[in-house]
Amino acid sequence: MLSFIKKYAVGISHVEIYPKVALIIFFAVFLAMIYYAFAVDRKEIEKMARIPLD
Amino acid sequence: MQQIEKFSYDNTSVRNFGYAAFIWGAVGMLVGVLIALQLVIPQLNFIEQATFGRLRPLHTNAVIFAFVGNGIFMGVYYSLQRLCKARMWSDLLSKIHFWGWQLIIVLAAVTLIFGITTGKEYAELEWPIDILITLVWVVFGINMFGTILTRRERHLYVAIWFYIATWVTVAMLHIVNSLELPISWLKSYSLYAGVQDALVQWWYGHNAVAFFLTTPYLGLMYYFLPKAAERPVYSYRLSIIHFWALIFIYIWAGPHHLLYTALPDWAQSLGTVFSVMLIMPSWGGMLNGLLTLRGAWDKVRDDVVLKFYVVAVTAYGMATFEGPMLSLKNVNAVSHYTDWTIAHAHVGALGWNGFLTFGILYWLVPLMFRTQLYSRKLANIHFWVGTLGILFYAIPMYWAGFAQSSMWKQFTPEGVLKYPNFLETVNAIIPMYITRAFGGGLYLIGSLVGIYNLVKTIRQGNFLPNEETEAPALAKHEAEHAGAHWHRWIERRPVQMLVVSLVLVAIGGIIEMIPTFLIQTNIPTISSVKPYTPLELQGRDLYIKEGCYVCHSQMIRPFRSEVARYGEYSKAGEFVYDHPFQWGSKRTGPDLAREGGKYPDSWHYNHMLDPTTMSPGSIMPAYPWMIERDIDTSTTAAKIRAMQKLGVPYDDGYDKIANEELLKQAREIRARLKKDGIECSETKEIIAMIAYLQRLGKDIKGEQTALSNK
Repeated sequence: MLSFIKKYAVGISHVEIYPKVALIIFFAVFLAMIYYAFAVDRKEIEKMARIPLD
Repeated sequence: MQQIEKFSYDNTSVRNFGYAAFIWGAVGMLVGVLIALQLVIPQLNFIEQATFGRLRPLHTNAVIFAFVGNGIFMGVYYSLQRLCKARMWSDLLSKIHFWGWQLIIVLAAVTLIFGITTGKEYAELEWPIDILITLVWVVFGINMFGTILTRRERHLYVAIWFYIATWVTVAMLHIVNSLELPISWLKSYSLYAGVQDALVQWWYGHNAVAFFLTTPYLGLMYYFLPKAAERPVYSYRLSIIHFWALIFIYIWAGPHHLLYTALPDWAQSLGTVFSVMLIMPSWGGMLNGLLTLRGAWDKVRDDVVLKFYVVAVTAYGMATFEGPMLSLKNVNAVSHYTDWTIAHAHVGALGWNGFLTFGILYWLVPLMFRTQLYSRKLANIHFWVGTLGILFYAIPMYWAGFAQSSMWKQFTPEGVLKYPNFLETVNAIIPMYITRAFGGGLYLIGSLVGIYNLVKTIRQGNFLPNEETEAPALAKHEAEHAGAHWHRWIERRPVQMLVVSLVLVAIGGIIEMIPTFLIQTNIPTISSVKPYTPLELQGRDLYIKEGCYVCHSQMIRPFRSEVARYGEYSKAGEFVYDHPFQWGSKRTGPDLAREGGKYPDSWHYNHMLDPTTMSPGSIMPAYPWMIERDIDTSTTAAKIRAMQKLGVPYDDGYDKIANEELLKQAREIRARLKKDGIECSETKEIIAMIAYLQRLGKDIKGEQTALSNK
């Protein structure tokens, strides 16, 4: 399986871009989560937080 | 009006997993204490099946997969039912899951002590057991998702997200890392070699910590801590950020186990960057846990369950602060290969996992057995003895790590190593090993007191196998009110949650691994590096069987102190035929990457028979059976064919003449031994072992000599 991947995808170029892409994806996800966490309705949050206690 | 449905929660599975957790926990800890003592009293390596190299994997597997594994299932089976307001989806699957997992543990214990191992840390189990693990894990998944899909609570509480991420990521890690080519029922070779194998292994190894020891336990923390404190989690918003940031960052951090090795530099840097970032979600989670107790600290004084939780969460905070620090290259240069890593791991295992498990058990057992805890006093004794045990374990290990590392690195004013004999650096830390064994012993005693207390509680109680309850059925279509958020969409859809989690965790692995697999320049080939001879290959398999990698690394980092001690630093191209790689992660003994040609064959013969004859004061076990036992030449041809399939360039038909070649080389070694006055048949295992050890690092010895002459 490994040799199959190697054979057909060996032409990959610009490897150095991978870490940058990674960083951008990470920050995008992270910012989206922070935005959501603060945008969500307070009552809704409190309701969810109480689920284990109900 | 919604219809109220009557149903019951399954407590039997929870109880069974709980029993298994504390029984296997005691076994795992007992083996831990034994191997700690073996480092002080090498004579305790009294039989082949109980040598350090075989028991250490047994200890790690028992603690991780048996103790913590059953702890996870106990907590998940209890909390998932309550959070979903539904009984576990199938009683039959619950049973298969429970007994299947226990069968895996027993098979693991038996195979490991008999030296049946893949030689990859924390993934030592051979391929039939790997398949069994996959099947049982799928059963767990079906049962969990069945429960989630038939739930009576629309929202998926954050703990369930952690369970889903755990399930999907562990499945992915286990399958990718366990890809191996079987040559018999009990032996296989990793599909990957050298640097690639190392990268996949530590991507797995690190994430075994992340997704087996951490995320499921965070899920448990988010359920059981608010339950015991009788108040909701401090910040649910923070728990959302905690979850997404944690699962996304964790998956990238694996390469920090390979800093300064032959792994390409960019992959090392990526591992470091994400490891440092990891402190944010980790500490977010820890603070969220501790702050849940705001205004309830008076309870902590009286409630032993909360005491266990507080120490557990604090240990989590300490370990996750230390983790990113250890990922910095300058810190890692000191800590790696030393007992510092062992200390770090045990703060996590004894503090975070151990104490959280016992806290949950102390809370759950009286509840399910409808009684009070047998003795609060004994529980408090357990708490204090256990806490002291952690301290007596961790502090000497930090000290040992730091002391030994600095001894490895010191030079005299004349510019030579101050402690050229590795053994000096081992003997200097023996007192710390003694204290560590004492600490481990204390922790074990605490646990045994805990088990006694729980058994007494169980005896006086009356078990409730099915807890009757009722809840309104879930309406099929609930009207969305205005302003409903996109995240709520995913929060209510477990399957989509599974897919998004899988995509997030897969990205990290793919971006790290694919370039290393594909780009030739990442692993420069070295023309002088040749495949192992059949005899060396058999010797290598003995090296794997005996778990030599547990104490010996085969990876010289590019430091002056290491090059002076061991020889030229290791290159990626030297390991292209190593299925699996054997770089190791700890130097209880010296590095062996350039062992070949350092000593005569007779030295190795005597050293394996009794290490102290060649190295007085050595704590290595003796391997007299290697001198008695014949090499299993019936496997040679199959091994050569397997290697050919994996891309090792043996000539066509080489498998047919492999045993002839093997004997030819064995006779040469026998002759050399005879010259030194040792009579030994060429068919014995020791001959193969010597052949392998004498080969290590020799491929580029010519280049090394050229370098030193410059």
